[in-house]
Amino acid sequence: MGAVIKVDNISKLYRLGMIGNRTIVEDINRLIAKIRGKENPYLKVGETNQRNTKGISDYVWALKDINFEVEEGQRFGIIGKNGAGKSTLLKILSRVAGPTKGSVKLKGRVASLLEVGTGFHPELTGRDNVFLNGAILGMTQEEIKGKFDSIVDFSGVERYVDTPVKRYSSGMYVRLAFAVAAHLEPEILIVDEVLAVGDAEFQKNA
Amino acid sequence: MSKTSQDEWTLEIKPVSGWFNFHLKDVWRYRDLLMMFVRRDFVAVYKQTILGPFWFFLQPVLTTITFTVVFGNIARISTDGIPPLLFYMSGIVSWGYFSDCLTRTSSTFVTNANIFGKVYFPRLVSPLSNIISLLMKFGIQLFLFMCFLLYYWMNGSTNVNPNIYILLTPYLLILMAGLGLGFGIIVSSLTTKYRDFSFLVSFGVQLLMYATPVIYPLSALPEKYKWIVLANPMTAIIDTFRYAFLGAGTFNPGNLIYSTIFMIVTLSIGILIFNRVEKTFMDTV
Repeated sequence: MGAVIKVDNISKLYRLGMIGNRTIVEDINRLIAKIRGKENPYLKVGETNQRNTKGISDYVWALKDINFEVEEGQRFGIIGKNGAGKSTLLKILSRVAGPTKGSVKLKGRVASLLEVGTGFHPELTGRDNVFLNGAILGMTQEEIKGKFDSIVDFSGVERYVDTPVKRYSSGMYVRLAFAVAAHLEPEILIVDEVLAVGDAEFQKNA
Repeated sequence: MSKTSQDEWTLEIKPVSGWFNFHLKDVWRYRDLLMMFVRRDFVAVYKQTILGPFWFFLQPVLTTITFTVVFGNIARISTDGIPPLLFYMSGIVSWGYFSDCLTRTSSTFVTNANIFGKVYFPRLVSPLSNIISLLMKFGIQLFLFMCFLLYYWMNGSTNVNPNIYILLTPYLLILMAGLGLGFGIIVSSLTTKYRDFSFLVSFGVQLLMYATPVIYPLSALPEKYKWIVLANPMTAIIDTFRYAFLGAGTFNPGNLIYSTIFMIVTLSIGILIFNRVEKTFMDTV
């Protein structure tokens, strides 16, 4: 049993407030620092990530020097206050956002569920959306074809599978979306608060 | 699950990887997604319209009629002896593909922000799917153009001479797609930070059309301004297209080579910047 995820000194810097009003000036400063071989001047802030106190700097480390390893077969949970950086960490793990410093090493096929129903197109039917969403999550056409019946079965919206999803109730929408996600078979699955969907009957299945 | 040794990582995420790490293999791995996007674009565009796919026909026909009336009948711009309808339509159909490619790909990051923010796939898949789905639209419009062409040809219009250069059409398409994609992804990469560029594109494309022989033949240009139009990489493409299907205008291999080089350079720069931006765009868009 070796580690399948290894997180090494991951840090992430965010800029607070409006993005875009001073960025040209900062870009130029950053470029000058780079040319002169100095460190990025905006990385020097030493603020902690405290949501409820006002900081002096416009920049904040959402994550600072995070280290952990996840073993094969292990379930790893991350808990924390709002704004503590849980989702940020998961975003980095699923390659949606890049870290400012540090590195992550992963072994095996990764699938991430930061949200269910990503890429659902309201005008397309349930059937089309299953294929589209599956493809976005990294499944191949054959895989989805093979699992289609069980996806529809799991979602329990068989009757509406050829109706555009914009006519679905929000519950049905989420059921279908989650059903697709549940049929992913990755070696590493990254999940962010998506299990809290559907009614009681559906949650039992999940 | 296969037992791999401790150092065999399949993926490593680092702050900024090199300029030349293109993930082209990844793009190939996600080809199913590419096709799904194409299908989505095609199916969803004209949902809940009465005429549906007929809009593909209606749009160029109405534009052609307008151009014929305004530029042909009112402004009386020369068409090199070609029936004005065919002349304008050939320009509109071919220019349309380029401008659609450019405008669609230039909003890649902004329109897909919600998908890109939630799941990883090679971002290049999105603009590529645009290029392909627009190709279908072009195919339909080309068919329409050929119908008109055939009609004129059968009725013995002596000025219309389709010739062997028609075989160059796929090559012209590659050039247009490459240019549209190249410029498009450069703009889309820049718009993540500075939205100004999206405004530039929306009217820039319109202005660029007037710097391309879409509504006038090259021969009608005063010598003084010719170099401006010839510096435009689209000029040779539109001109060759028209020459191939209608037999009027010029075919100049040198100009076409110029367009080719221009396309390769633009596309390379585009992919380079796009690659760079796709890793950080979530924090800036």
